This record gives sequence, structure tokens and C-alpha cells, in this order.
Amino acid sequence: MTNCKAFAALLDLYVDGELSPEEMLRIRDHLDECPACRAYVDDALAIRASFPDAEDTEVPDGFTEAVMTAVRQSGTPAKASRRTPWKKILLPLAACFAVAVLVLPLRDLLSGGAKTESAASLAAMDTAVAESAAVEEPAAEEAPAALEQGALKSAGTTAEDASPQEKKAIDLYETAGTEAQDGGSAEPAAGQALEEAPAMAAYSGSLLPCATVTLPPEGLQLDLLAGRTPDRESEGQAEFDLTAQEYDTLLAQLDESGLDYTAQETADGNSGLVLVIVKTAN
Amino acid sequence: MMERQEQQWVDDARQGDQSAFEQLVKLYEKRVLALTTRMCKNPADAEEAAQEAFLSAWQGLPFFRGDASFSTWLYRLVSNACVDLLRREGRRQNAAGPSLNDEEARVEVRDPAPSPQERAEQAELREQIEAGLQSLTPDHRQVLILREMHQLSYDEISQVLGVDVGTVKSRINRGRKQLRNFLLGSGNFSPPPASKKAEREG
Repeated sequence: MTNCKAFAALLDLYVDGELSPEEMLRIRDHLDECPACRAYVDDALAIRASFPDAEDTEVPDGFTEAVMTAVRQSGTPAKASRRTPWKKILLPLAACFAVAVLVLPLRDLLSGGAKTESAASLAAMDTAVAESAAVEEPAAEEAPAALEQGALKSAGTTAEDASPQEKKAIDLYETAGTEAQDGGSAEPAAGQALEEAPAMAAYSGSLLPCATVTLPPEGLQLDLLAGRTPDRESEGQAEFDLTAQEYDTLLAQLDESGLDYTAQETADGNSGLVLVIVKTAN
Repeated sequence: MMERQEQQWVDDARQGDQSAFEQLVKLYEKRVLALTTRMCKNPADAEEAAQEAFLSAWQGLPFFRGDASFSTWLYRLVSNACVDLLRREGRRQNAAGPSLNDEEARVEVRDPAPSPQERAEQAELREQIEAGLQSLTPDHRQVLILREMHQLSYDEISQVLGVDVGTVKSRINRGRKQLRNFLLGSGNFSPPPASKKAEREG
């Protein structure tokens, strides 16, 4: 009987063809002499023989159509188009990255540095900005200078106060950062911005993933952001802290809207929070 | 031939071809509904879970790498959709309660067996199997359906359910034993008396 128990554990595997040929033969031999095990196997096979057949399943009227309607409503496989721009954008828009990530701390700095919402994750940026803010003159020599220019530009309110030298640098930056509207002069500037990208990367390690969305003057309905109060706001732009999931949803919306936007994934992409900056084009 | 055709549909659907995907829906809808009708409590839920699974398949196709077969992957989505629905509606059933047979066997019994008497017997057995399946826990019911109806191997079932093969083995063993006991109890099986007694205790 103990012998039988050892076999009993293998009967399902036997019925289901999950044993080696040698083991199958061993079980077969055992079945010849054990009515109990034989009955189990017989019953298992009888169950199989009479088991309901999937092909007998009735498909409710209109089922296929209902599925396809849902499929059509969902558009093309959403996740695919949602991912592509995310990755493709990485390099060409290294310059925009500086705008997006640095706008926040500098603005804070300019307005007294009181806002510390994302203090932990932005600490490195604060340092960078403090550094660059301290360098009052000869701008445009090192990477921090480039960062500063981007930040100044994005902060918007500071443009009038900037020295002529700074203004020039800002213009340069602006051309590099935006979509290179006038091809000729943009090239060297873009080159410069890209060269400086490695220096920026040093800061980016502790930064949030973020996107910069530039809305057309007439505005645009973005469902996700419509009902939200910006986490931070300044002239011409609003900043939202989003969860990664919300961010994903937003990118999908942007894809559908055909609107230009930039997105950047940093080394710290697992923080779960992302930053979206919405600007209004002039 | 069919496999190549299916593969073509999968490839095309992955590129966003909706009509190719529709072919896949037609190819699999019976098998998918066969599973959901037995996992969900009522036909409306079954239909919803099946639809959900197909929609997930459509949306997830770009990420379908072909590591498993398309059917295995699809059944996984079906299984997930059923579990989601059960969970959402708080209907997760407890172990083998015989009081669950408040629904009729929902699958029409059509039988190819030749003699009228055999046909009647098999129809009766099939009906009892349906009832017996409903008396199992969802986990046990599911492995038996995947094994017996969809003819998946243990390995494939483990991929579908995301559990290890050892778990599949033990679920099949327990599920089958319980189903058998149910059929012995309903008088559908008349095994040799000796084994009948022995197995009933199992």
C-alpha cells in the first residue's frame, strides 16, 4: 500500500503526459496490478473524455463587435506611442533639460528662496544655482554659467534685470533650447548646449524626471491638468508634481493632441514623482 | 498552416492592424469565453472579463515578445481579468462549498457520441462535470480547465498563472481528486468498489 501511495503521487503526471517514457512504463506496470490506481486513472480519463469542449461555448451575439468597438476606441496600442517619444527625445533635447529642471530653484532663489516643497530632491539643484548665482560676472565660461542662463531665461521675470552680456548669453541659450527655428544661428548654439550636457548630467542624478510642455497661445485642453492647481506657479508657467502614472497618462494625452513637448528621464527615474512645467508660448 | 496564419495576425496586430486583431478575437473568443464563463459568477461578468482580456491583449501586444505562445499569453490576461473581476466584486469564493451551484451549466451540451444512450450518458456526465467544477475553488477549477479544455502542459499553465510548476501539480491533483469525488458522489462514476472506497478518502 505504501508502494501504491508513492505511485499515486505520479498518477496525475501520468495522465497528463508529464513523465519520462521510463516513468510512464513503470506506472503502466503498476496499474496492471493495482485496481485502485487504475480506477483513478480511468476516472481521470473519463473526465477528460467528457470534459466540456471550448468549441461548444456559445459566443454572445455581438461579442466580437463589442470587443472591436472597445479596441477602436482605445486607438492604436497606446503604450507603444507613449514610450517612443520619451526615448527618442533624450539626446537632442539635452538643452531643454536645463530649462526644465533649473527653473524651479532659481525662481525660488529669486523670490527669497522660501519655497522648499521638493527640498530633498532639489537640493543638488539648489547648490548648483547658488553656485551660479554667486558668479556675478564673466558668465558663459563654464557649465554652471550655462545652467544659470537657462534658469534666468525660464524664470521670465528676470530678463529685464539681466546685464547686456547676460542677455546675449540668454538669447544664445534660447535658440539652443527651443526648436531651432532659425537653422543657421542655432547650430553652434545647439552644439554648445550639447557639449555642456555632461556637466549637467552631474546634477541630474538627483533630479526628478520632468517634462516641459509649451502650450500654444490659444491654450489647449489637457484633461489631466485641467482640474489641478499648479504646485508652483510663476509668470507664464505652471508647475505640477505628478505621479509616474499621471505623467504617463499626460504624455499619452500630449501624443494624441499632437502638441510639442519635451520629456526627459533622469537617472533618478524611480522616485515616483515627476515634474511637469507648462509654459504658454508668446 | 493555421499557426503561421495566427503568427501573421499577431505580427500585423502588433503593428496596429485592427482587422488582424479581429481575426485573433474570432479565433480565440470561444476558448476565452469557455474559461471566463466558468470562472465568473454570471454570463455578464464572463463577457466583461473576456472583453477586458482582449482589450488588454490589444493594448499589450507591442510588449508581447513571443517568449510564450500567443495563446498562453492571452490566457494569462484572461486569468488576470477573471481574478480582477472576482476581486472587484468581492466574490472570491471559499473552498469547495457545494452551495455554489445556483447557476445552470451555461455551456450548451452538444455531443458527437454515436449511440443515443452513450450520448445521453456523456451529456449527463458533462453536466455533472460542470456542476463539479463549480464546487471547486477558483484556483483548482482554473487549472483543470486549462489542462483539460485548453490542453495546456503543466509548464504552460505555470506561465499562464504565474505560479511554479509544483503548485500547478498540486492544484491539478487536488482539483481532480475533488472533481472525481464529486462525480463518485453523484453516482456518475462506478469504479471498482475497492478503489472507490480508497479514492474517496483521498
